Amino acid sequence: MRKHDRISRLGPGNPQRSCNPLLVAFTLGFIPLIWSHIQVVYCQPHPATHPLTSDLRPLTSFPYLPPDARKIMEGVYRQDTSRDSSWRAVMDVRDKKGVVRQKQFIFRKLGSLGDSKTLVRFTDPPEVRGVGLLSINRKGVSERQWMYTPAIQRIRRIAPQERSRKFLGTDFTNEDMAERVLDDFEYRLIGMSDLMDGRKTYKIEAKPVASDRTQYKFSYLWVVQDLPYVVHAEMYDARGRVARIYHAADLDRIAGIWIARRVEMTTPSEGTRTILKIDDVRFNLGLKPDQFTQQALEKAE
Amino acid sequence: MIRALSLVTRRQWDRHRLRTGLTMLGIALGVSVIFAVRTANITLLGSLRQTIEKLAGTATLQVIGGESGFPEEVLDLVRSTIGVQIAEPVIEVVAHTAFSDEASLMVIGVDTTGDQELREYQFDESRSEIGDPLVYVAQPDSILISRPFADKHGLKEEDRLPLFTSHGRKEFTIRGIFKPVGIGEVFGGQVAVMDVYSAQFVFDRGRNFDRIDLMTDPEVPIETVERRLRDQLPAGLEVTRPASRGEGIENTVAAMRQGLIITSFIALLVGLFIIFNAFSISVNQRWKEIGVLRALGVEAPNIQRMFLGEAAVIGMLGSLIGVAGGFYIAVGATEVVSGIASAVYGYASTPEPPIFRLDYALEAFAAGTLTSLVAAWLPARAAARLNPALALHNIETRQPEAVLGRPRMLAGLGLILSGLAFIRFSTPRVGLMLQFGYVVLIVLGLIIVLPMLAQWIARALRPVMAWAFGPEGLLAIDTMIKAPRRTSATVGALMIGLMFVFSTGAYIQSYQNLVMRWMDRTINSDLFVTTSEQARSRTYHFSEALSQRIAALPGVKRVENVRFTFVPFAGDTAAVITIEMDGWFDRQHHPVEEGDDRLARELLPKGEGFVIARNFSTRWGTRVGDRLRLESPTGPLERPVIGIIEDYSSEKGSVFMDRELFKTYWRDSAIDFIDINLLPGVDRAAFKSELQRMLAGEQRAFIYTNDEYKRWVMSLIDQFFTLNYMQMVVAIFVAAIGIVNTLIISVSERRREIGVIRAIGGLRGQVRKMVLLEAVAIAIVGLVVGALAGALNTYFLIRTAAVILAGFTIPFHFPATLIIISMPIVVVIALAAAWLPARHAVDLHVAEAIGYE
Amino acid sequence: MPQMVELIDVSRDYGDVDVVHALRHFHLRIEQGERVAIMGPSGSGKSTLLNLVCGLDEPTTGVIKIEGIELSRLDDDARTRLRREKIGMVFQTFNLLSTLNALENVALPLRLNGLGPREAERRGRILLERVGLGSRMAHLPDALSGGERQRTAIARALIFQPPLLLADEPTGNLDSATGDDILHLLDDLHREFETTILLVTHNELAAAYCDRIVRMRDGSVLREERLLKTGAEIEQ
Repeated sequence: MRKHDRISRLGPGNPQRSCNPLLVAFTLGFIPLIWSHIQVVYCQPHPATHPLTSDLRPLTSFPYLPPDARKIMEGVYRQDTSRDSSWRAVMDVRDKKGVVRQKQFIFRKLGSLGDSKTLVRFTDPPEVRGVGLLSINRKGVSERQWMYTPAIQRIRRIAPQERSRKFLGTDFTNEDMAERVLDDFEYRLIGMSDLMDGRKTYKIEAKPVASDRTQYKFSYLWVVQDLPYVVHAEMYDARGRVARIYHAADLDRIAGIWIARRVEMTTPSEGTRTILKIDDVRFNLGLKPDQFTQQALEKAE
Repeated sequence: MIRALSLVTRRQWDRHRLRTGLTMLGIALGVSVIFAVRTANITLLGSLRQTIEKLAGTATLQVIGGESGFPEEVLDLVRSTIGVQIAEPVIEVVAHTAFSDEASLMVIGVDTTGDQELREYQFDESRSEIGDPLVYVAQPDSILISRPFADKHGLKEEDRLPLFTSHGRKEFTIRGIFKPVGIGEVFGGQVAVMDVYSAQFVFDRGRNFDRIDLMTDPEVPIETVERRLRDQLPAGLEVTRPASRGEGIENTVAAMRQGLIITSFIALLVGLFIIFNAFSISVNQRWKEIGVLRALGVEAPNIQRMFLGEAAVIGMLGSLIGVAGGFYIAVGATEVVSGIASAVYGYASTPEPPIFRLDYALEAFAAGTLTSLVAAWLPARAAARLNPALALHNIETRQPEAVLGRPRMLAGLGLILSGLAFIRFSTPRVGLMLQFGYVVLIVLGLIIVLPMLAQWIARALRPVMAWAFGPEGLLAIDTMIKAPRRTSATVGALMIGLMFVFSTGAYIQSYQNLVMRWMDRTINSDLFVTTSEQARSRTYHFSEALSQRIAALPGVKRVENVRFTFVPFAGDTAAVITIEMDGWFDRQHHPVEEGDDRLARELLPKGEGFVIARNFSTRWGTRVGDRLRLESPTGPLERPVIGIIEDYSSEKGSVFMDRELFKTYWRDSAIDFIDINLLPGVDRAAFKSELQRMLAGEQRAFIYTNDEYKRWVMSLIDQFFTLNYMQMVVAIFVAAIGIVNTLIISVSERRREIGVIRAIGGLRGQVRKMVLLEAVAIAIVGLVVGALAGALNTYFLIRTAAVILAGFTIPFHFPATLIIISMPIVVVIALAAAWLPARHAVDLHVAEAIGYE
Repeated sequence: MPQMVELIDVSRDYGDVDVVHALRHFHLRIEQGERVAIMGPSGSGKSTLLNLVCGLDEPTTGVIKIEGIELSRLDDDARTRLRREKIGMVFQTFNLLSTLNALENVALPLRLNGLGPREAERRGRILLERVGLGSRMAHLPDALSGGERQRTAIARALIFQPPLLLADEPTGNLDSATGDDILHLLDDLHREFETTILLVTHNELAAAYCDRIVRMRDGSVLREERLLKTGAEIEQ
């Protein structure tokens, strides 16, 4: 137990890589999105596996062919086609004593995976009201983040973090927050019969290509068979124990895009849990780039 | 042979246990002082270094500026440097709680969102992180404290912690408690962590950081990154490894250390005299024994070896005791030096138990043993050269002790004069060790002429003693005169001890007089508000808002804001004193000693020039008209030196500039002292108490009236010299042991004589008086030669040491008052030292002493 | 008139385990003006006797009286004063203070008694002239011959004109001619000052100057001889 008390020191791994994880401090709201399209974005999309014209239908139209695990994942990655998005979130972080801390925020995003800007603005409780977080992620460029604290009216830049560190007391680690690169993993279909919330799913094993790219030894992902969405995932640590369990529920389709209204991340070893409830989801509402600048960050809403 | 002789030695020791013990103690004290001072020093440095390293966490490099830090843009520059993996800003403030004890608390401002990569905080209550990190960052009143601090003040999470900040008293909310490991060990656990940006705000640091801690890419050599950073950053910033930052501090406290080490050898020198004395007497007393041994066929070299062997064993035992004792003394000495380091230099250190350094122990041991051997050399040689027939003949036909002849006298005088000439004419740039040689020449010369000098003084004293104390006085002084060797060794010990006391005292006194006169001339504001009751706080400052509030009070004519800080300069540091120059010049009559006063009055307020302190000019050879370049965090600042003024603010030498100029270049608007000038007719004391009322419980500030301020500065000077005062006490103590030893020897040597006096009708009281008077006579002779030696050494300290160590030119004052004051003290000490020997003399068995044959 | 010296049943033992009986039940009476020589081999108790008489040592048992004053009733300071004023002492090794000249040595007891230096030295000078050292007064003991030193010591012993003079082998360190001189001097002084003399000696010739010889062995009186004529009278 004591071992976990310790807040990490940097391990041998290097948190900076050529394609920087979108670490998004505080973009918790971002997570369900990412996870809904599979918590990851490609940084270097492969043209061959990224046909713009390809549709999701084929996955279900050839039921007799065993589906290719990678193809399924590509579908997940491509499912969000929006130009911008906005939603509200209520986040509950429950510690192991059962104490729940709740926060509310508004999430806005402009652009698509690999070239996006996000702005998170906290609205509740009063201690954090007005705190803003701006992230700019562009492929090939290390992501940049700024945070604004109204009490001292300061914008600060946030430096890249160690991936296995828990993000601000939630059950998400920095790695979980980041855009995951499709090609960093090898995928293997290992099951087609698991039911999740009454839906048939594919169970896919994701193994890192190189072990220094992730804290996890491997993960199991459950993708709903009739829509490209990861609804459940288990991440295993180096010793093969479950480190974290992800669960997305209340799937909803808004403007043709699937999104989970309830996302849960659990850390079994510590008995903690973070739950996100999403509301007021809107896509393509015409957000402008000047709403995602440092000046905009400083402006109270 | 040696074994047989060692039996003789052992018997001798057994018979003269007290004397042997005292001789050992003489060496032991000398050794212990040396060892304690060095141990205290290394412990302090180790503690400072450890503090730095613990605060640095796993950082491989640090970027540091002067004391006032550097603008935060530097952070982006550092982060964008290739090979830098993590770079995190740090601010360190030693703040004070607003609890009744106003305990100090080291507040470390770090960017918690990134910092945990570098530093380890182990939170307790099985928390793995700060309770609510978002709230922690969002609220500037958030603070994390260490468990020991929490326990000491009965604090728990979500409790309020009042601290004095630059904006006055502020309540902080405890958002986490970390364990006393890693960073929590620093400063005795009196540690708190807060967000660096909040710290900037709360402690009025503008947009500056004190430091950037960074971790380099393990695949890139640190040197490469270090070089890249140096190339990119302004020259006023330093890129250094945490481990080597200790050296910088070592450099800062160098003046203190060098002074201490030099003076600690004095104690050993006094010990040398004690040993010399003991052995001379021992040889004298064992005249007959030596004769017998020689008659039995012991060769002369073996006699010499016997005595040297004795000296070696005494030296080794004494040194051993000295090292052990010194280690215990070091505990206290460490406290003192840490106190000085924090009071004078503003370095906060974590209290540590003394570090035992084997090499120091061995060195001190060797020094003690060697001293003992050197001291015993002459007596041992005398023993070996003894004519055995003469020695056996009759113990009463003792050879009259040789009084030194003219050639030796001349040689001694020559040494003294050449030492003085060196001091007078040598330049200060030849190196401290060489210059220390000058004083060695003088001391050597004094030692050579000492027996004769002591004789002369004693002869001059004879009629006085006879007149004042009757036959006992006469007998006492005669005893001295007839035994010049025995006497002059003790007088020598006393001379060295008193020389040290007089010259250190005179130096301190001269320095204090000088500072006093200087303050009387230049310190002319009515009231002063300071951030610390120590010389200054390196990290805690006032904001301009406070100064403006004070300025708006009724009765205030004008306030001036002083920033007193240190900047890197030529591989060392220089003090920078910034003030509103127009106001400052208005209050000074003719401050510029060298250079154009009118020009200085015109250019300085416009920021178009510097004036420098005299000692800055001496230290760095900077003259009026030179262009002086200082490296500021925003780039180099170069201005002409318009004038040189007298200033003793820092031994590093001060550069004066206008406050606005400093603020522009250093982006630092902090204030260390607020000088308040009142309107005519406003009562200082009344205004002070009003101001105190206004600031009470709101702002940590110390308010002094003009007189109080001067007294406060003087007490700081006293504090700086605390260790010297302690060494003075040790020197006197060692010299007192010398007196005890000499008198015990004198009494045992004169058993027969005392017996005769008793036999022909001398009362016990008369014998006691005689011994006591002998001590008084020794003390007086010691005082006279000590005063002479002290005057010479004062000359050295003022002419050479002060100039080298601080560049100060201190006028020479003969320490007359000090000598007069110390006279009765020394006499009383001598009387106290004589108490035991006197009792021996009184208790003497007369019949045995006379020894009928 | 009381006896000058009276020892009644005096014993003096040394040591706890191996007790040495230096004096055993010793009786001695010396009349005013009498000259007594104590003779005996080494260890017969002569020195112990002298120490007891001058109050430097105390008897284990028995009573010692000087002019009727019982020594054991006096404290150390009173005994010292008595010694200073009533008893002159002359030693075999002279025991002059080497740092003082002849005159200072002689005047020392007076000065220890509180007399001013001028008066003390005036009286010292008279005595030194009397013992024949008028020209050597300013010399340090080292510069004096053995005889001169002993004369100085005698002068010092007589500075108070004490009724009792104790002499411990006064000629022991001198050649026979010088020794004779000293014995003559003592004889003269005895006549002049009517001093009682207790002389400890090995020298039969010296003893012959006395009125009575007490021969000792093992701490007791072996026998006493009363001389009808002293050595000096025989010579004459």
